[in-house]
Amino acid sequence: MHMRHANHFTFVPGLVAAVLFAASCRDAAAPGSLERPSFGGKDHGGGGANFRLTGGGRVDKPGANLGGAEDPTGKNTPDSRDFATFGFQARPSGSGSTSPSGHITWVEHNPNAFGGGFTFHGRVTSFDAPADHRGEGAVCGRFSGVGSGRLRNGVPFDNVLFIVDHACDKAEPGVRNDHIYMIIFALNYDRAGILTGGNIQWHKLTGNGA
Amino acid sequence: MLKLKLRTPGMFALATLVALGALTLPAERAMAQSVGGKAFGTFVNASGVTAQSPVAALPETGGYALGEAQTFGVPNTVDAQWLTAVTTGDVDNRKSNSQSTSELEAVSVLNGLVSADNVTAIASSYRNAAGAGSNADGSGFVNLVVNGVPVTTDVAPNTRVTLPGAGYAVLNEQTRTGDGVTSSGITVNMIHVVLQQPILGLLGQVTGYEQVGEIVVGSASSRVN
Repeated sequence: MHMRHANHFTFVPGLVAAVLFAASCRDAAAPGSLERPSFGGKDHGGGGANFRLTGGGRVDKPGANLGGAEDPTGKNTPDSRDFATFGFQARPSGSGSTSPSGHITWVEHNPNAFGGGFTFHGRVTSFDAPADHRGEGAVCGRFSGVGSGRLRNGVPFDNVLFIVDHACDKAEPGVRNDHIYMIIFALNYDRAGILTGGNIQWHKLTGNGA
Repeated sequence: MLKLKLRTPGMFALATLVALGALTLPAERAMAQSVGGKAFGTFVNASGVTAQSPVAALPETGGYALGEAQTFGVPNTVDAQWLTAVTTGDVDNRKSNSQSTSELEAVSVLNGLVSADNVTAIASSYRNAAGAGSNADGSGFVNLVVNGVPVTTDVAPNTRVTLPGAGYAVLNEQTRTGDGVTSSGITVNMIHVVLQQPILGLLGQVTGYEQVGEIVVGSASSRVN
């Protein structure tokens, strides 16, 4: 692990990242738990992916769409910065393959998050198809990789692992239907939610994975 | 007159099939063929200055594009931090989608005439077998203040406010395109300031106003067709 108090730090991935998480040397970022959120439903299997995903939009505070919505879409009230926005493109390199390509940008606006919030840019290095944990027949992708970014306190970071545990396309429009779960272990950060803006869409792969 | 001689029933059948095929477009080819998306943080055209923060522009075949800047400012016109603009989208024979986001923090327009802790613009468009649609869900402000008055509720689309001595602003400006069946698009400009100066008559009275510049903060657009 390589965590300095200078104005730049680099995280070594893998086991070291897990140690960093266990050390908890920073405030926990909203919403807190790094366990998969419980949505109910049943798994419908998963495995290698024969599709690609694109998406972009917004997720608000936990529970905004689970009984605590302030408005029909679950978006926060105008005095709240407890939300994140994102945009991504992710795919395996060929039909049924788990080799990667793609990118993600994730912006956390909550001032109580690590570093006062952050902007993160990730490069996809793995992709597969997890089960739809909500049992709603959504097409879900899971992808991960490494990335870099900058905290709102100005400190940059790089070589950080990220995992999009699931990005699920249930229906159009994506608001109130699609959902996403982002984890950045080195920042002790995760956020999961049903979209309050934007859309996630799966597309079939062509024969060459394009 | 051209005469076709079909010597055998097989040739006749083949010719019939070819003719029918030429008349019938496969359903897949009739679906959306292109997408569009664009997002940026700020644009200024005022007092002889034209400036724009980095633009994210989506190729017609889809993909991912990013435009960002840590700070952006034009003196006495606009200031903002943490500008991030992202656009993504994809096309296949069955469906298409495009979604763009633009966000900024610590925004100040015309020396605080309009300010906000956060401005977020989201434009989403999709097309599938059921039709096409667009929306700006998720767009909004955090702690918006206009003319010194805090705005404590979400701003309705295309809300116009007067900016004394400067002109007016359209907040949460939304413009839609497409037929909702085979095409759809939306452009969202969260703050669109139209700068004006009065037109004076012979006696010095104000007879009207003319536009002398504009400022756009938080712009996102998407389309499918």
